[in-house]
Amino acid sequence: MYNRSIRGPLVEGNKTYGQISSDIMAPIDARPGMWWYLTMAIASVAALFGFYAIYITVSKGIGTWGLNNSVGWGWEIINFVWWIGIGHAGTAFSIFLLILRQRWRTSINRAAEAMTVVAVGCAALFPALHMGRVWLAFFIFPYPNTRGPLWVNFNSPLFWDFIAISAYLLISFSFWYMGMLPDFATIRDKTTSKVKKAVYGFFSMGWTGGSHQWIRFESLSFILGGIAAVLVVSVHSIVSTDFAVGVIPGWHTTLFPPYFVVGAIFSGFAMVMTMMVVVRKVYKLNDYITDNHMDAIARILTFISLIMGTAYATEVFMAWYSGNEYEMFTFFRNRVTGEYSVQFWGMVICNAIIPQLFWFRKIRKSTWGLLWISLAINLGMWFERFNIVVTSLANDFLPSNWVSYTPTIIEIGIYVGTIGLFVVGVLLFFRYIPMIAISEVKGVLNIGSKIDD
Amino acid sequence: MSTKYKIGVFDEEKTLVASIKSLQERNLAIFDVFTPYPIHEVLHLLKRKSKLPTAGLIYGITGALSVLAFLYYTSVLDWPIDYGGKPFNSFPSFIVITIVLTILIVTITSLFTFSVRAKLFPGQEAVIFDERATDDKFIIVIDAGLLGGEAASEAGRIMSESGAVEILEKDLTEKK
Amino acid sequence: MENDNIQNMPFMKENLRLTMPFKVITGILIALGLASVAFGFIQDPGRTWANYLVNNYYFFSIAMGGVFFFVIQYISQAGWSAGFKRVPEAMMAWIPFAAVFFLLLYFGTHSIYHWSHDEAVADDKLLAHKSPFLNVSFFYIRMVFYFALWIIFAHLLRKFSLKEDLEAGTKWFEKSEMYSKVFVFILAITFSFAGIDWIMSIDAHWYSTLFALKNMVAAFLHGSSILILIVLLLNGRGFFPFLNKYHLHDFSRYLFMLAIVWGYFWFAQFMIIWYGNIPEETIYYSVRWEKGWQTLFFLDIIVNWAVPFFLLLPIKASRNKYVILTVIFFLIIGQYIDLYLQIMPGTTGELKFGMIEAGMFLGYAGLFALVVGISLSKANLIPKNHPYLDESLNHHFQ
Repeated sequence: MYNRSIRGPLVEGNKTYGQISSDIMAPIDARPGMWWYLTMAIASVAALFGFYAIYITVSKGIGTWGLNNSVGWGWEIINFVWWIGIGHAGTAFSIFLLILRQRWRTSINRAAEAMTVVAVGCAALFPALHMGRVWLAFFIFPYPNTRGPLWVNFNSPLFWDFIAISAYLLISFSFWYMGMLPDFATIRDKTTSKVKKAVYGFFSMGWTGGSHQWIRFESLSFILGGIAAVLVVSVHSIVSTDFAVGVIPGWHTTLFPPYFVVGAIFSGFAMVMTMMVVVRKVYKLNDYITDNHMDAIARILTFISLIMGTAYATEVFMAWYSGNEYEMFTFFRNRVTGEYSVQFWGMVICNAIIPQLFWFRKIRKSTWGLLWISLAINLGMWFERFNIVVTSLANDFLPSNWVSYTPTIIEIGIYVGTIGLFVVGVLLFFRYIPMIAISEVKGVLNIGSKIDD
Repeated sequence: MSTKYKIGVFDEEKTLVASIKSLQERNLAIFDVFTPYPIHEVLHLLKRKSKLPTAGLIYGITGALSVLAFLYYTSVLDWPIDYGGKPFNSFPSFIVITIVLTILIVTITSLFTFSVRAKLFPGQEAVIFDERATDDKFIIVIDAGLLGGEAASEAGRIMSESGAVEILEKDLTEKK
Repeated sequence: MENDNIQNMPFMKENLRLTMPFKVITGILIALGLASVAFGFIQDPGRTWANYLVNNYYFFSIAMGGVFFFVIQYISQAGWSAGFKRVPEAMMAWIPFAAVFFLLLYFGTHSIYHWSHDEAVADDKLLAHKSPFLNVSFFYIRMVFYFALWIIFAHLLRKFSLKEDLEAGTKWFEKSEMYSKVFVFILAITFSFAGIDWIMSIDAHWYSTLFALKNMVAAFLHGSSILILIVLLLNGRGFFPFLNKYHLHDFSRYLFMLAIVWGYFWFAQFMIIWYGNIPEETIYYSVRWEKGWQTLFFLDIIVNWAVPFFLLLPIKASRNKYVILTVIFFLIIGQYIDLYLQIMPGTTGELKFGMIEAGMFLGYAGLFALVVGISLSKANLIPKNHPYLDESLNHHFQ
């Protein structure tokens, strides 16, 4: 039972079912505004730059990157982890909020899931390129082969990564796509354009909304939801084991799996907030993505930010408590002070301190406040990954191995390119796919009102 | 083959549910109900059940066991390699890969089962009784051919009494 | 409107009176506990102090689990549980008792904590390094500080909750929510440090960043299980008549999810240490991998993770009172095994379970039951004026 008078309605503006369909379909039918073409053009240029950098990387090898013997992992791994982290939002929104019975998720989960699919796609690019000889990437499949048959190392976190990311990409895509079937059918039945009818009809896979379909639809969401909840936790835990199962100081710490998962959800939610601020502004969907929604995300971000702050403090404290000289060196001489202290303090300020501004209602209500803080969090999460990947490698056990690391233009190019790709993907999503789950919003429209008591 | 259908169109959930209940009281078989969003009460009344979760569980157990067997075969029997002094059958690290691979297997097989059982795949043509059922109307479809004319018209009467905004009749040539 | 609803419900028993048999049984248990403590101190003081710590922490963690449950309900704005909030409130009443018990640990410091011996610190570089943190006076200063914070916050939350009964409106509710948010943060930090201080420092050389978090989740899990046990026992006596299968479902989801999280932390800590294979870390597990301890080591993960996971996995089972009671039974043993395994190898180093262990546990259980019972009987069992009460009394979902 949902107490509407206290909790506020989930959808504002007294909509009817028909209005919901037309409101959400409106951006698909209308011609996009000038801003859309402009952003698309900029993002495409960025993506092209990325393709050029990838071309250089593939044709000349990863010697074009700034990596060296000590720092074997640089921007590519940072960006890989960063994108994967952002890609946790969709599943986190759909699944965890479902489990926690937070009904407000319905108007946001579609966009969050779309973002997930694009972000995970961007992430998957990096380890593939990092293999060096991309054309031999199929070696990682465990199949009986002519090389022995020499199997892949099933104990290797890098192989776990490969499986986890493939599974995550597949499951988040299918979860997202499946949720769109009823909405595609709505477009098919409502549109007047013949082309759209045919295209959306094809992709709606024969959906009619009959009871036989709904029951199986619900069962499948239940299964996919359940296993996706496990997967979303295991994916980032596995990414964390890339570092944690080694013995490098600053990497080898038992806290890493949950710390990475929480950090991933943090950056993902921040990206969702960035996106929702834009969507609300541009598409005028304030009745669906209400102030309450933004408020709820801001509260979650504040909460997670405190967890992150605690995790940073725990790490530093434990480095001291351990009495291990390498741990202490890594944290106190290398991170807190030293060459990479900017990144360390950037991380602390952006992730643990700035989001605390959300305690003020005024900032939670301000569009700019939401936008800037969410961007700060994403920057902070990038710093966090830099802090983990580079500092521990640049100054390790032997002082004779100590080096500095600076990325080359090619590395920067690939990163910029993935950002461009991401924006292109999201813009296409805005243009061609209902960005709010129509059928789900209809389902919660009357919750707590007179019709449903 | 041509079949006649009687269709009741409803505006809201409440009248739809009431109508289903009164149709069922008179033992008038409902062919199907179409709604723009899932309504659990309707699914419950129509006694729709899905065995998909059971299938998923079976896939999961089979998947997990076969992954473990596969890992044992490759890492212990077929080509054992010493990685950093770990035992060949290093269960703690095999668990991780087992979880993820099982998830992958369950996802693929469940999607496949869903597609087959719900008859949903790309390009499949939808049998649409009323186009508004995916937008803002809730419809009950009665198979008039099966029930016979008299019962069908009684069903129509019941539906309009319990709040249907429209009663339609449709001839649908079944596409096979 | 909410008030009407309560009054309309027939046979809503609201006031709990402690029955004579309850008082007698808890009295006998307490006496039994005192007898075992006395017997233990004569027989084997070292072992008794170790047991004292196990039981202290056991019941303290359960009370803290209740606090976690309570504040999480406010923070997540959960409505379904509003009707049961007196139960975690009553569990909080244990905290002052836990404080007294823990402060009395002062007299056993030397038999439990290796780092408290000056001669041990003198010829141990690592202990000397840690001594600014791990020294007897700072240890107890911290302890007093933690308990002061917890007692103040628990007292305030209880006060707000009782005031809410008298005054309509959402003023006290909002206040509780605000305090819960602050408290959960303070709780997370202080409880982590408490876990490091009281338990992890037993193996003074060993460290794990996940340790505190794992014990926090364990407290939440086992606290919730005792909370549900209390609700079910009261329900069996006719209280909480509105308890339906949806409440049971939500309760058991807590056990289920927390058991998974606990298992995940357990595995993460074990796997990373096993994989990294650094002697100073693996020593912790290799001691617990020896004969006898190994059985407990595996029982730990089976009882605390596998049992709740597999028994509560099917939806039907998760709504069944008897299945939930079975799981709770296992979890009660599970927390004991977990703590026994954390504390004993580093203190007595002997795997012994006899009269001292059983008697002390029962004594604590008796006192805990009495304290919680008295606290429950002091206020209306169903709160009033809670904005989500209506939601809780008529809880249902698909």
